[in-house]
Amino acid sequence: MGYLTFALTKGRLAEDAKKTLADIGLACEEMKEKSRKLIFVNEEQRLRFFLAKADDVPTYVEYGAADIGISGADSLLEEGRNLYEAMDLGFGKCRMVVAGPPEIREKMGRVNNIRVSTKYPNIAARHFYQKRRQTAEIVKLNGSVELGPIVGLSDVIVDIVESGSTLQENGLVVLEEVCDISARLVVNRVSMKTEYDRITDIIRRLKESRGV
Amino acid sequence: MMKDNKRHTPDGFKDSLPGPYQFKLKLKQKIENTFYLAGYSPISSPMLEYAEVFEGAGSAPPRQMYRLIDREGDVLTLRSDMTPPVARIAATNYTPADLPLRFYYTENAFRCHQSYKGKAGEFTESGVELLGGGAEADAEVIALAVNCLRAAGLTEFRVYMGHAGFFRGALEESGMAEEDKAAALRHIAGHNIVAAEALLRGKKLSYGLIKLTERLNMLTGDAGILDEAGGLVHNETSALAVSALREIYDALTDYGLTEYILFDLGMTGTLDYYTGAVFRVYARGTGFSLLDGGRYDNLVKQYGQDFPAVGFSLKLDNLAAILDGGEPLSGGALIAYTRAGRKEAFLKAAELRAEGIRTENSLTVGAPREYYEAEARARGIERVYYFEGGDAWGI
Repeated sequence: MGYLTFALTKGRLAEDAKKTLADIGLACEEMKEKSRKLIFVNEEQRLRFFLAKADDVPTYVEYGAADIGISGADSLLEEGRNLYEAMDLGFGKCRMVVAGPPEIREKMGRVNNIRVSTKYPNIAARHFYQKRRQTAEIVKLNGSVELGPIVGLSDVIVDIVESGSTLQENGLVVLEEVCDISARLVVNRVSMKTEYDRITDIIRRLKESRGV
Repeated sequence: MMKDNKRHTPDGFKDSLPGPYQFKLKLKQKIENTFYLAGYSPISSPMLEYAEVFEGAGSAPPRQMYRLIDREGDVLTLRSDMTPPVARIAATNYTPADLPLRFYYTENAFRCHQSYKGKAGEFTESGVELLGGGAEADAEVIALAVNCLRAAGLTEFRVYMGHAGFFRGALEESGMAEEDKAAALRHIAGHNIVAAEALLRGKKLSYGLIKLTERLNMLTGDAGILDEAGGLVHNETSALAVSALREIYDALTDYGLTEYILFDLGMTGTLDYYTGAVFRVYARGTGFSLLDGGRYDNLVKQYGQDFPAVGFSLKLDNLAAILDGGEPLSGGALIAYTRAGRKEAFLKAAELRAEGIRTENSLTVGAPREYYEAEARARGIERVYYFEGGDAWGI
């Protein structure tokens, strides 16, 4: 039996992802400790796990470097990779929103070539062009996008919010919902076929354990 | 970005160097020979087509097409796959009396991808199109897909069969708005089960359809899965899809190929032109499908003739990567000579080549024996023939 390889997202989703898998008996001792190791192996069950940056998880899975991934819906939407989005895992819930200073609310639809700063240029472009049917100038930033409207780089931002406290502290408000975000189980297209029995068994057990 | 473009190929494009390229050509030869022996004829089409040929043909998304404009102002496109050009050729050069038509090709196709996604902009496709016929034609083409992969030396692979009508029928039955049906199909074709389920749940649909959508992804397995699939749908289109798959499977049983065949009812065909059975080959060792095909009865119509058709294309580069046989070329003979022995040397070289032995000439004239031995070793050549004008010696 070959290894089944899992790519998990570092950071925000990592602990929940490990726990979700451990709940159905997919884990290894090493993962429970704080460790600098990059790859964890469970020889008994022929499983391998590694942690990767959020936006890289869909890439590893699309290429088959990992058979299964746990990834935020935000990364999946942004990357637009060709893979199975098999299950909503229900944790890591937040919202993708358009936010900005309150005074722009009234005139948002009338701003010509509205400037949008975001870590998610594809999601922002889709939202403005396809849903709002508004031409937008998208500026990609790599972090602290809330700064955009404050320092005058952009009119609004597209970003994920959990509690909304970062927005509030910076005098920004949610102007519009883009979509709901949560962690998803994704599967490589070929692995879904060649490892069908093992993978569908994992999905079935996850659905049972998470009550979905 | 500072990049010396003079020294590089564009992102997504690559050169083929002798070892791996020779290996790819050998695979191509074995595959094309299988096609030829099954009665298929070679066909070639221009790399550039009018953009209209591909419009509405359900090939690559428009933004993945390379386009350019000719002197007349017509928009041309680099072909993104071979099926629309072959359909065009069939419709414009043949009549219904010529059916069945069997064509095969190996050509490069082009897709314009985002940079740095590691996707090929140019790739080689070997494939067949069979115009005319129904289930017998489907089975023939699927059998040919199995046989060409076997001929190429691939052993561990499976063909997954589905039907474009199976899920479409269930959606028709649902009475949803057209745009929601289209969205559901897009989600299923894009393997986004979460989005498809969410969409259908939100529409307050019949329990049956939601159950089907949940199960769709799991409707993968041997012929037994067809019974389960048949029990989940209650409309004519889906029922016909299931019976069409059974009929093809029956024929494949007589071909003796059922060990290669599995079903995946969640597969609807990613290219919009598929109307009937669809199939895909997956093998370990690559994250992508190796071969895609299916029935496309509505495509040829677009070019003026109503021919039913089925075909597939095989990604030759992916197959070469899995089989991984790109060793440097070796074997053959080296011809070495002095000025006096040259004529005789050339005669020997011609003789060896006539026997089918790959023979190269050393460009150094009159060097000592050790020199040529070293030259042959360095170039992976097995034998050396040396001509001094008197007696020849060979190593």
